[in-house]
Formats: sequence, structure tokens, C-alpha cells
Amino acid sequence: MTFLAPAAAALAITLPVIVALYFLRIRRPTRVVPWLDLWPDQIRDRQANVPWQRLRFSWLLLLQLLVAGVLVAAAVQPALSASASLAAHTVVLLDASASMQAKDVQPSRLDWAKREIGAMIDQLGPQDRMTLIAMQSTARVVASGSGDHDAMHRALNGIGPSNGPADLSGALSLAAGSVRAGEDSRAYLFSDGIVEPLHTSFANGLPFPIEYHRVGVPGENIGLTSLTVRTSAQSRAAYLRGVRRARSASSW
Amino acid sequence: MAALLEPPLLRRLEALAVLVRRAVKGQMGGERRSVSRGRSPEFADFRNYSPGDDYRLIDWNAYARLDRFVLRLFVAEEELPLSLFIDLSGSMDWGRPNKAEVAKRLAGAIAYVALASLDRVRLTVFAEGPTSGGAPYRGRHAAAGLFARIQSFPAGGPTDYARLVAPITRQRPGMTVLITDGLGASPVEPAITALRLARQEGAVLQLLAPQEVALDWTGDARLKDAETGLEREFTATPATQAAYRTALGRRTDEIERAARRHGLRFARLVSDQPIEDMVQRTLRQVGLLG
Repeated sequence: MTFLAPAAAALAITLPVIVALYFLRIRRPTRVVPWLDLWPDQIRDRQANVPWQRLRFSWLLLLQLLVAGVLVAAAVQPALSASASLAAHTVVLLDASASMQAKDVQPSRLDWAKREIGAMIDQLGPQDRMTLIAMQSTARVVASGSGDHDAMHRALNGIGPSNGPADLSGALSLAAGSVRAGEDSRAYLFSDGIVEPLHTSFANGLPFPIEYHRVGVPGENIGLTSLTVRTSAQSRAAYLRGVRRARSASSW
Repeated sequence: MAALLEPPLLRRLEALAVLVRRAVKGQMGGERRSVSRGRSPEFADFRNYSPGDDYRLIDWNAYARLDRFVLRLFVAEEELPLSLFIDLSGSMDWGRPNKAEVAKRLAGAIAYVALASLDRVRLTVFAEGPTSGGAPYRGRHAAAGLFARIQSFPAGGPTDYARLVAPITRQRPGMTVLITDGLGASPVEPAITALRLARQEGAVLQLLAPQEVALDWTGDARLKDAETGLEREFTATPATQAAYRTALGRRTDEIERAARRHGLRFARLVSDQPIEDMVQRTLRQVGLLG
């Protein structure tokens, strides 16, 4: 639980003020009586702390305290952060390469990652911004520095799988460009293949920390990259080209 | 200023008279049996003649039989001295209807009954000390002056019943009516004892306002004493209201017991009761008027 506007907690002073007003409100109306001695002397001990009387229960007081409490609670803008609190500017790099179509997680690696990113969008506070970069054979920015949840969801849903590899270096340079100097920013990389390079060359010199979310089961990428069928008079030959990669800098 | 009492009520009051149990001696002729002997159709006693007696009173039939002079004595008819003591302290200047105003009207009604039957009325109002209402009033024509005098007195100040003792005991035997609410720091008993010491046939009329008999408010209040101005915080709950009623009842009972112990009539009146009802019903019941 975090408070986005902790300064507004100063408004909480209204609660003791309301209570104080109730203390003071027991200012009694004066009634002239013929002979005071007939009236039982019930409050001699309480006369010492006039006008701060013992506070007596009142539904009105309770209601006013409740309303004031709710208003103060709303003014401090409490935010419930789930797993991690997002930075002011979140950069999401989504791998949309061919291998993200694998269905080792349901419904597919890409859809699983999009669901995760959707949850992050929902976590965005009113002041937070997010940049969404899709990595296909070329990286492109699908949403730039937006805080609009609906627009972000639409942009996210518009990302489809491609048949090419993912351009991580291009995506990282786009991400670095979208972040202003000194901005509180953090990048999240959703991919199925990239582990090593983040710790080495790519991660160096980036203006933000980057967090890698691995999608799917680790393993080698095996792809069918081309199928060629040649037909001659005597024979038909089919050429099949398979590619196997593991721990590569870019995933398929 | 509105008239203290309405003429139709005064006409009905003329039919009443202040009742006394014992014959008392007045100073002037009136309509009441006196302890002294005088001229009236009512035979009282025989007495031996002694030189100087009016020989018109000699019973000649008795002389014929007994051979000595015997006087026939008759009951004198004289006035009744009636004293009215009206409490006009601060506690009486309270309530709806105002107790002091009602006390003035009630005193006026009793005074008028007495004046209409040729009795002598002496008026005293008191708060911290007694204030005389002037020379005694006598005769129906004095009523207007008496009413104006009653109305001229302001109400206010503390009550001191002890200072009533002197004016009460100075009186010649007669009838004294004390109209008060009986509230205040000083006890009522000295005044009541003084009534007996002065051989007064008396009546104590305790007048309370309906708002103090039945409390008409609850909750928090700062109570202020009408006489002393002292203030105190108070929260009226059913329990504290019951305690108040108990205290009021105790005070009222004290006054009533003291009055009865000294052979005085006692009546408790509430200020919203019409004057005519007080006079015709309550005061006749206690035997003050008839």
C-alpha cells in the first residue's frame, strides 16, 4: 500500500477538529430554576474540566468522522501495488518473433506475455506512463509514453506474432530513446529466448534497469525456415531447411 | 395595567367569607363573633352586676326571681384581622403562569373576600425582608387601593423566612395567610412556628408552577438559581428527574407537616389553576373560606 499524495494526510487534522467541536458543543443552555438545591448535585467532579466535558456517543459524530475519514483517505490517493511497484515510466519490450507462437504455455507464449503486460497496464497509476515496444524483425513503438489504459490495451491487442526473429538491439535503442534523462524508468523484457546478452553487452549503458520475464519453457528453438520443392521430368525433390538455435542473442 | 381580578369574579367572591375556628377579638365592629361581649342578638352569658355596668343590660326577670342584679351579656360582633404574607422572591418570579403574578391575584381574591365581610386586611410582601403594604385596609371600597398596592410590588431577590418572624409575632391574634412556594435556602419552619406563637389562625398556601411540578425538558443544561444566581451543570435523565421530584416532594412535605403540626391549614396550589377554582374549591376544602 502506497500513498500517491501523502501530503494530503495533513487533512486528517479535520478528524480531531470534529471531535473537539463535539467536546465544545456540550455548551449547555442556561435554564433558570426556582431553587437550585432541589436538583441533584450529580456533576461536581466534572465541573473541574469544563468546558472539556466527557464526550458522549452520538451517531452524528460517528457519521461526520466517517465521512471526514473517507475523504482524507481518498485525498491521499492510496495505491495498492501488486508484485512490484511500477516506475513512473515503464518500458515494455515484447518479443513478437516466430518462436513466441509456441504453445508450451497456454494459450501461446505471446498471448501469455500479453496477458502479463495487460496486468501491468492495469497497475499504472494516474501519473504513470508506459511505452510499449514490439520486437519483430524490426522493433517498433506501438504505444509511446501513454497513461491511457484503454489506449494501451488497444495497442497491446494489436500486436500479433511475426515469422521473423526479434530485433532486441533495435528495441533497446528505441527504449533508450523514449526515456528522458533522469526519469524514473524501468524496462521489462518479455521474451522466450534471451538470457545471456542482457547481462553483458546490451544491458550496459542503458539509462534504466531492465527486468527479464522469461516466457515459456527454456529450450532450443527449432524452426522450419524454408521448404523448396523442385519438379523435373524425372524426379521431384523437396529441400527442407531447418534451423536450430540455442542461447542466441535474438530469438526467433 | 390589567385589573388584578375581573369584576365578575369579585362579585362571586362576595358570597364567601374567611372562616375562623376560634372567635377572635377585633378592634372595630364587624360581622364576626368576637371573644368580647357587646351588642348583638346572640346571647352569650350572665354576669353579676357591678357598679358602672350599663343597667340597660340588667336582666329584670332574673332580678325578680333571684333578687339580685344580673347582666345579660351578648356576643360582640367585630372584625377579623387578616394578614396576608406574599412571597415575591426570585423563585416566585418564575413559571408559566408566573407564580408571583398568580400569588398576587390569589392574595387579592382572599383580601377581597375579607374586605367584603368588613374584615381588616393587612398586607405584607416579603423576599429577603418583609415590606409592609401600608395601613390596614377595611371595607369594600378599599379593595381598589389594595389591588393597586399589590400590583406595585416587584418580584425578585432571595427568600429569608426567618425575617418574617418579627412581623408575624407583632400581630394581634387573628388570621394570617402565607402564600409562598416554600423554596429557598432558608427553612420555612420558623415562620410557621411564629404563626402559632402569635396565636394566629393561619393558612400556608404553597404555590408551585406546573413546569416545576412536572419537568418539561430533558438533556443538558446549565441551571441557574433564580434567587442566588448560582449556576451548575446538570443533565436531566429519568433518574435525575426522579431525584429532583423526590427533593421537591420532601420540601413540600416538610412544609405541610410543619403547618399541620402547628394547627395551620395547608393547601398546595399550581399556578395554572384558575383563581376562581383555587378559591372556590381548594380553599373551601381546607376550610379557609366558606
